[in-house]
Amino acid sequence: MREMIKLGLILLLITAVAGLVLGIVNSMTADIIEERLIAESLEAMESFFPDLDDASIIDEAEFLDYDRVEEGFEVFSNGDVIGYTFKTNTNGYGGTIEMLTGINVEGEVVGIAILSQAETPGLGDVIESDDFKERFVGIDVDGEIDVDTISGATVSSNAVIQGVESAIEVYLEVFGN
Amino acid sequence: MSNRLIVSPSPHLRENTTTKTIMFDVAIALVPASIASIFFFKTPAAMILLISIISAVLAEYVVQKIRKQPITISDGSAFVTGQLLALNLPASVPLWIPVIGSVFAIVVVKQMFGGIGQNFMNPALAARIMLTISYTDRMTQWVEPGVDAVSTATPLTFASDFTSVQSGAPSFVDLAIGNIGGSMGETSAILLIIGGIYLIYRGVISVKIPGLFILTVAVATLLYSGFDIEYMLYHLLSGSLMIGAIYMATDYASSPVTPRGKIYFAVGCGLLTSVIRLFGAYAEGVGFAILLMNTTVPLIDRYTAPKVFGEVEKQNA
Amino acid sequence: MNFATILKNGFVKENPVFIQFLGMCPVLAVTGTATNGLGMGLATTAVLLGSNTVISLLKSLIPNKIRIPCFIVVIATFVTMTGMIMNAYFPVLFDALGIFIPLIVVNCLILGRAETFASKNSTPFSIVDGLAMGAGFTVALVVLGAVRELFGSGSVFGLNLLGDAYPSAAIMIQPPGAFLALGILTAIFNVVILKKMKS
Repeated sequence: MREMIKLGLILLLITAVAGLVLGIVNSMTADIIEERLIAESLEAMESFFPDLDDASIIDEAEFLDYDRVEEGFEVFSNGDVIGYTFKTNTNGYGGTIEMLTGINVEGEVVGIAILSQAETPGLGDVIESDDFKERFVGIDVDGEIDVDTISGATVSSNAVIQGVESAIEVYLEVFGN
Repeated sequence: MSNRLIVSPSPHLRENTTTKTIMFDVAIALVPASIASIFFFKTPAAMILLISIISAVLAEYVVQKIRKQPITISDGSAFVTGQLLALNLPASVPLWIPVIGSVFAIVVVKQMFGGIGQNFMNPALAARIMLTISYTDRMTQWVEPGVDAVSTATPLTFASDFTSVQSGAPSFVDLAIGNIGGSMGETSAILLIIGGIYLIYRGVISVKIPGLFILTVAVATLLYSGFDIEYMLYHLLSGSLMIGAIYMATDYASSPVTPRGKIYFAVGCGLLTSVIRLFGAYAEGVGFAILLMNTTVPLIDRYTAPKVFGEVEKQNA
Repeated sequence: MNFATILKNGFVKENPVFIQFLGMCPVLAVTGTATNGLGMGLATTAVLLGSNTVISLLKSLIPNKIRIPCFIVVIATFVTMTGMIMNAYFPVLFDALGIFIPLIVVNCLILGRAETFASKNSTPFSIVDGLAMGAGFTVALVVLGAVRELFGSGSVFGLNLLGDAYPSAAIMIQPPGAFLALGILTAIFNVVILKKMKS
């Protein structure tokens, strides 16, 4: 019994020190990581909204029910909200496809950007082509998404369509009027 | 004298069959399909056949020379590998593709595992899959037969994602004689079957593997389409089912030895082919199916080995 | 035992990849490019160095009965730290290596060195052992990554070596290419280096 307590205490000591060290490292790196995340999306957002002069992160609590939506941003111009951008994760053929969908306040998709994907080189990765991405521009949030999939890359195309659908869903239910 | 009296364990049945005669028979069986590919796809097909065979034989010679082994190119197995590989390529490929494929088939798949009889996969088929994965766009640029080769889809593309044959698909007569887009040698179902019948007649292959393989695909596609015979025939006659089932699934070194094992192997090939064709991302699944089943052959052989005469069943204590 | 033997063991005689075949998951999975191989190698080396140092320092404190949980806690701490630091300062590499960074925890090379070396030897030796094994692992990953990238994309470290006319053999940067390249490189390693060592 005594030995068990001793062993437990030693393990506790080691894990406590480990936890402390990790806490320190986390407090040093967390802000940098978050800044980087905004910066990464900012570039794409600027291409969606040329008038953008400010952006802020939307509180995660607003879209907790939506599994596929990872982050949301409000986009401002001269102090007025001009649109929203959502980061979504969907399953493609070769792994997760992380992408952004920009929707303006008029309820129109203004653009999509693929942040990361692991689709088959030469087949699925055509979802990154401008030709494919432009097929989504101008979609009305109240209408159907009618985008042709790329032959030979049906799974990858559908994953992107699903991402746009999820973004529109959040836009309509949480932020739409 | 020593040549006349042969001392060996039973069975004492003797035949004049050698690797050479078998390979010669296979090469002959492939002649109709080879001629048809040249007839349909003209000069490029002839060049691909020639280069593929030459580089396969040369690769075997060079490897055996380097490893100071007896040169076995005269047994014809490298020739057949080259011929089979060429018939698996689209006629539009640049000429370095058959070279890379042949060298890969002989050096990596065959010789690295110990040469003839030791390869655990069919060399020509493994090379085809390697080429398809590596050079997807070049390997899927199917051309219509003729001088002015126009790029086209294979007939399978008309059936693969659907439960019925789509309009615009080629007619059955064209499918049967090979006047369609696809790899050089796989397009003509009738000629491949004629070659297969010759091999069965000569006793080189048994009807078991190709027969059950094709039958399984037939049943699976029939069930999937809700008993649409046209759809089933489409799956049987297009793609590389015929060439795969008759010439590659029957490879001695990479298919089971036991009669019962052959049944499992063939049905497995057929099921995997159907699953990949009907549900997978690729339109064609024959190649992957055979290679996957190739890897299970040692296991199949082990569990289907017949009982040795006189062996006593293990008693449960 | 001296420093030279430890170094030689890590690089050649007990090379973690080509001789011991340890940590095959990252070896096969992230070596599609030389850069990823280098990143994974360095991250593993950092963890190995940290865990070897701390475990050799704590070896008298850790009771034999709970040594494995203790080792794992130490290793997991260093892995999480490495992950956070990479995420903050080397985001490109962090994204490329993805799930394989947290998986360094289960790289048996690291637990293996803790168990067989750091818990039985002095701290200076353990530090050198961590560096040597890490370097052996890193070099192997870089070579494997370079070979796969060269044939699979025509470049090494992103530098286009073979020209645009080279038709990339995409199989080399895909999973089957990892096995092919590892097998052939191991054969070459055994023939060239081990033969030299015997003579």
